[in-house]
Amino acid sequence: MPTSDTIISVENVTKTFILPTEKKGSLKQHLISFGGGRKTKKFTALNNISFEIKQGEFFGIVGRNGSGKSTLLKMLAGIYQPTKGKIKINGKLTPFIELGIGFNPELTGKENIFLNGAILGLTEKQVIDLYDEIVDFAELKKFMDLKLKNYSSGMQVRLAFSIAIRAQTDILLLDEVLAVGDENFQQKCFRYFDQLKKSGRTVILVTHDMSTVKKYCTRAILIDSSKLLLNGKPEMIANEYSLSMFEPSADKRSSPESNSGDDKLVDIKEVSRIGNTDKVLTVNDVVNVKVRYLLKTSTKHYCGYSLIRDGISVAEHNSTEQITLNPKKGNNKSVELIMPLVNLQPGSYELNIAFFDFNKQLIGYSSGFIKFIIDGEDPTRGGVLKIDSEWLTLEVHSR
Amino acid sequence: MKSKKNLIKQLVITDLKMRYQNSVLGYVWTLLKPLFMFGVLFVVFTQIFKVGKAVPYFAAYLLLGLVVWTFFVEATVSGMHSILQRGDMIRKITISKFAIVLSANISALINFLFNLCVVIAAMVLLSVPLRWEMLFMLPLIAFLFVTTLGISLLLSTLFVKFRDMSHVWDVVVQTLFYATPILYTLDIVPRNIQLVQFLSPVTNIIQFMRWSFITPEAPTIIDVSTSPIYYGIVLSVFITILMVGALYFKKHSKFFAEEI
Repeated sequence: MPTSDTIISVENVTKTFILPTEKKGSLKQHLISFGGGRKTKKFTALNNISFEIKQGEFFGIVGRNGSGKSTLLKMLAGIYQPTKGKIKINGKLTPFIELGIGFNPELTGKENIFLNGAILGLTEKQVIDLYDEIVDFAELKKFMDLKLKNYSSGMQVRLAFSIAIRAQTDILLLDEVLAVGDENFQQKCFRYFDQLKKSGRTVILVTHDMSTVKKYCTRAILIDSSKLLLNGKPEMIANEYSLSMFEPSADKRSSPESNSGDDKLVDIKEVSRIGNTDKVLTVNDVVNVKVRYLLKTSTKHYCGYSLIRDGISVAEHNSTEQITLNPKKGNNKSVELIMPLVNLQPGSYELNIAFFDFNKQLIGYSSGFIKFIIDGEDPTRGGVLKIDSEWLTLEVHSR
Repeated sequence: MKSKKNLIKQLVITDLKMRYQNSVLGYVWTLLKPLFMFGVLFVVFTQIFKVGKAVPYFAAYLLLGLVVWTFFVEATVSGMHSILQRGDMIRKITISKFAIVLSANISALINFLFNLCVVIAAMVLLSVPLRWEMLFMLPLIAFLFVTTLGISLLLSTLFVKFRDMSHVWDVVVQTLFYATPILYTLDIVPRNIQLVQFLSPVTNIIQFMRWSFITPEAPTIIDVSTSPIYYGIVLSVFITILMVGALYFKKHSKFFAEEI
């Protein structure tokens, strides 16, 4: 429900692009294909997305390339119109999809400040008042009468950014502007973000950098394959995004499988995490998995897992040695796995569960239901295993 | 509103600066071009062809017609290209598309005003008496500007969809050039054809401009017909151009960012 402090509300927004299979740029092509039925393809860039942004939020939009987040950004900016649904914005919004829009290489730095300022929606008086501040921040006082084409790319970015951050609007829309510039300049950007956050301006940030999301955002959404997957705390979004980066995008992702073996002796009903169900874990965590299954005939059987990383099974362990499973046929049988991660290295893992009879024949398996990431990169370690190895320095005695 | 005004101003300034950038004479060209044109016309039409004897001050008469026509072509062509030219901007920021077309027309208008100064200078040179009727140029220029703006809005929208619109317009402009009494005087045209010619706002404006600047003998719509019905038809042509341009642009400009 929209409340009074809702500054942006996006309601059931869908955006479809109609892509001609051959681009018809000329009248002739239009005439030729007239009546012959146009060859077009529909492409849904965003599918039924709803969310709200409140006054003063630092809001993150996260998603991989091609997920639709740029389309969403352009719709928030009013550049694209939604095909279906509504976007309501209370206040003035300035989008920064690219810095230095309209910069003209043949004009001087000074002239470009006036032009770019106008394009960003400033009045002439505002630009005059801000002029000294812009030049000082960009550290380009000496170069203002030089044509922009003689600037280095770094100087251009500095100038563009200095103008951009002075657009005093209610809502700022930032698209990966941090991807440019040297380290020093990036530091400046981050200081500016700190200021923004303190001043309580509403900021929408689209980024790939999860540390930025965690540090600055108060809330975020994750978009994948045209859909809004998650809306919530930035830590959760950042973790989920990191996780999704390890998987192929949703349309290619093989759906989790749970199948019985050829003789269908075991029907796996459910494989789920219990206890700590975070997807991003550390080596100090323990993964608990509960497997619920149906045994169709009374068979002596055992259960096993295989832990997959990068398509390779890095650890396997069968239950025979630990527990004896009840061989009577029936429903609602369950088994639990406790797996400490202490010996593993950070990375993305997948757990497969399988059932075997005592002839070591596969009678049921499940794959792709359990996935997790072990976080906490240790620069001194790599690989899959964590071995309590030690390095010692040896005294060298000069003889 | 103020920021929109600033946007238009900056776009026009950039336009004018870019026009003569890197040229030695710069803005002087704005004046030199119509002066040269006038020189050529003067020699060709008063010394060689000797047409227009019936019209007093034919050289000035001719120059004024050409200057108005030049504005019409320049404004509509640059207006047509303006949206596509600024496509990069439109795709990346919320910007008033109307301001873009308007600023292209204003740049052309500024050039036109320079050219009018040259016309007045030529009139003084040819000792054409300057009359108080010249003040009619203000509403006439306003009519002319609104006409070119309406056409620019329509053409710029069509040009986003059909890139060969520029060639189509080239042909239309060439046809209109001969259909409009610019190089010739109306007394050589049969009256029923004149009736068709005066349907065009450009013909009307050129003839009224000549009437107010050069000679009260220049025929205007009043000399062709006195029928209020005919006046109504001419007015509705003018209004149709504006309405079609404005409405078509308004309907489609929202989607420019996606179509460019």
